[in-house]
Amino acid sequence: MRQIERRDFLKYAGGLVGVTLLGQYTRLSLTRENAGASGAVNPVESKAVRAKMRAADGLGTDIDPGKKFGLAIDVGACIGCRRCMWACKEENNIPDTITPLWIEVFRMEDSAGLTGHPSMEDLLNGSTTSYEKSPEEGHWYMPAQCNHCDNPPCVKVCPVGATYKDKDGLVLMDYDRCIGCRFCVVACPYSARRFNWSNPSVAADKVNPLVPLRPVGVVEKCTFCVHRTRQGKLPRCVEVCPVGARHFGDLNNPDSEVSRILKANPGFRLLEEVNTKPNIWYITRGKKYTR
Amino acid sequence: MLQRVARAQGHNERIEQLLRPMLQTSPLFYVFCGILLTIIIWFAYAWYIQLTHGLGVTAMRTPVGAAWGVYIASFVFFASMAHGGMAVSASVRLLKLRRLLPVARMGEVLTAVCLMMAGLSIVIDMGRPDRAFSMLFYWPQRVVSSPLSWDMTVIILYFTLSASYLWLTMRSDLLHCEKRFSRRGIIYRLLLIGYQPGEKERVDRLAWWLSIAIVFLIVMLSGGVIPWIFGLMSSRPGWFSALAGPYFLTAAIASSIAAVILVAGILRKVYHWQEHIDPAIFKGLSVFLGVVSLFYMYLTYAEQITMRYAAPEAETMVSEMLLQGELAPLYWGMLILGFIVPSLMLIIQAMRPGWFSITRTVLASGVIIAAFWLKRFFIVVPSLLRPLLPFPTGTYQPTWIEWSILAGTFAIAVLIYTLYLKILPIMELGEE
Repeated sequence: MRQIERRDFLKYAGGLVGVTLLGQYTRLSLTRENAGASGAVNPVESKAVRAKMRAADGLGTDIDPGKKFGLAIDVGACIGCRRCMWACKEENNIPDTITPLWIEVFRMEDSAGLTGHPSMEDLLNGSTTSYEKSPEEGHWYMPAQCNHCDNPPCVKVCPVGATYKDKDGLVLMDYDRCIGCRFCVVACPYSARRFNWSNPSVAADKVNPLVPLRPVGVVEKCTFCVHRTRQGKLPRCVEVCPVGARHFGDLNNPDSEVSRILKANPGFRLLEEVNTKPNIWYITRGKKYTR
Repeated sequence: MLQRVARAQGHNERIEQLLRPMLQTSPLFYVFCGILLTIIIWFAYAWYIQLTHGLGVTAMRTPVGAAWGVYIASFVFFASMAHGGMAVSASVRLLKLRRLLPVARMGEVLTAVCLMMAGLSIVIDMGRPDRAFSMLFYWPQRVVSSPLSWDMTVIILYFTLSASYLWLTMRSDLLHCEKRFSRRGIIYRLLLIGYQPGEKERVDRLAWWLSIAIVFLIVMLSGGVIPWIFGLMSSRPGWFSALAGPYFLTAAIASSIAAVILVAGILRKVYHWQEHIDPAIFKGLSVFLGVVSLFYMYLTYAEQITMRYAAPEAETMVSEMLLQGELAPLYWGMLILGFIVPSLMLIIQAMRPGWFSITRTVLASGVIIAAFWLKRFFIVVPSLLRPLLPFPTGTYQPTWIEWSILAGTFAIAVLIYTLYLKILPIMELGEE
C-alpha cells in the first residue's frame, strides 16, 4: 500500500477544509442577501420554495417588504370579553387539545399598574387568566399573544429554521419543517408559543380552508392572521373586538391608523428589558373601565 | 536471564487475567443482560406509545407547566458525563499520568456510550423525531445562531474524535485478542485493518494531538454550548446567567470523575482485578471528586445569592421555589445528602490511610452521580414553571412513560458498556 506522507495529508486536509469554508461563506452571503433591508434575522428558505409553500397554503405571495405590521391594544378600553381569543380559535383552526389558545387575556389587579412588567408578583396578587365574569370593577384586562418581535429569540434558536421573520415583520412557522424540539417555546419570554402535545383534530365542517392544519408534534402560534393581513384584511381578533380596543396596521406608514394612535397616546410594550423589540403596543386612552 | 523470563511470565499472566472476563462467562452475566433487555423492551413499548400518541403522554405542557422535562435533564446529564472520561484519558497522555492508565479506557468507553445516550435523549424529546436529520440538512444556515446546532456540531465532532482515539489506542491490544479468541477473530481483524508492526509510535503521536483537540472540545461542549442552551435565554428566570458555563463545566468534570470511580470500582470487584487497579487510583480520584463537588456547592451558593439579593422578582421566585417552596425538601436533600456529605466524606477519609475504604468511595460516587442527575432536573424544570407573564402556576410530575424511557436510556447505556467488556479489552495490555 502506498504510504500517504504526513505533509501530503495535511495539504489535502487543509485544502478540503478551505473549500468547505468557502462554500459555507458563499452560501451565507447568499442568505444574507435574502434577508431584506431591515437586517432582520434571515428567512432561511429560498424564494422559490417559500413561494411554493405559500401558494400551497393559499396565502398568496404578496409580501410587501416596506411594511411592518404592528398592533396597538387599548387596555383602557378592553373589557376582557375574550371574543378575540375565541374568534382566533375559530379562524386559525386551533384544535381543542391546545390550551391556552394563541391569545390569552390576563385579568390584572388595579395595583398591578400599567408597567409593562407584569410579573409573578402580580399573579400572587390576583392576576389570572381564569376569570368567570368580565368586566369587573377593580380590574383591567391585558390580552397577550405573539409580539412578532423585531429581535425574536425564537427565530434565533431554531435549529432548522422552521420559524422565521418575514420581510413584512411577521414571525411565522413552517409546520412541515418543525422538529418539535420546543427550543423556541422556552426561548419566548412571552410564552406565546403553543405545542401540539397530542393529535390535533378540528371538526371538518369548522375548518377554515385558508389556514393549514398542523400535525402532532409541532409548534404553532399567532400569525397576525397572515392569510388575511397580506390580502389587505384585518386580523380576526381586531375585527371582532366589540369595543374597538385593537388597532392593526403598518407601523412604517405614518398615516396608518395604528401609527397615528401610537403617536397620540403614550404606551408600553411587554417586557422591554429582554430586548425583543416587540411589535404589540399597549396604550390607554382616557379612563380605565368603571361601571 | 532468569529475571527476564520471570518478567515475561508475569506479563503473560497479567494479560491472561485481564482477558479472562472476555473468555469466561458466568450465568450471572446472562441474568444481568436479561434484566437490562427487559427494561429496554419496556422502554421500547413506552416510546412506541409516545410516538403514536404524541408527547401528550408525558407530563410536559406549555405555557402552564414545563415545556422541557426529564428528557432534557437526561440529555444534559449524559452529555456532561461524557467529558470526564475523556478528560482522565487525555490527561494520562498529556500530563503523563501513567498511574491512571488502568482506568483511562474505562473513561473513554464511558464517553462514547454517554454521547450516544445524549443524542438519543434529544431525539426522544423531539415532537417529530422523523425529521431529526433536518438538523443536519439545515446546519449550514442555522449554526450561525442556534445553540442546538452548536450542540450537534460539537457532539458529533467530539464523538468522532473520542471514538477514533479509543480505536487507535486500542489497536495494539486487539492483537492479543486476535491471537487468543479465534472465534471472534473477524471483529478484531476488521478493527486492525492496515495494522503494521511498528505503528505504535505513530499512533502515540496521533493520540497526543487528538488529546489536545479533545481537551479543547471538552471546554467547548461542557463549558460552552450546552450551558448556553440555558444561559443565553433571557426568557427564563434562573437560566440567564454568565455563570452557566463554569457551572456546567464543573458539574461535568465532577459527575464524570464519579462515573469513572464507579465503573472502576465495580469492575475491580466483579472481575477480581484487585491487583490491576491500585487503591491509590481511587484515593487520588476521590479527593479530586470531593474538592470539585465542594466547588460546585460554592457555585450553587453564588447562583442562589445572586437570584435573591436584589434580583428581578422572577429570579427570586425560582430561588424561593427551590429553597422554600414545593421542591425544597428534594432540593435540600440533594444538596446535603447528595453533595456536601459525600464530598466531605471523600476528602476526610483520604486524610489517614486507615480511614480509606474503596467500597465507601464507590458508594459516595454513585450518590454524587444520582445527585447530579437531580441537579440537572432542578436546572431545567423550575425556571419553566415560572413564566414571566402571569400565567397560572403549573406543575410537572413526570408520568410513567417518562420514567420508563429514562430507565431505558440508562439500561441501554449499561448494556452497551457490558457488551463492550465482553468483546473488547477495557484495559491496556501492554506490548507483546
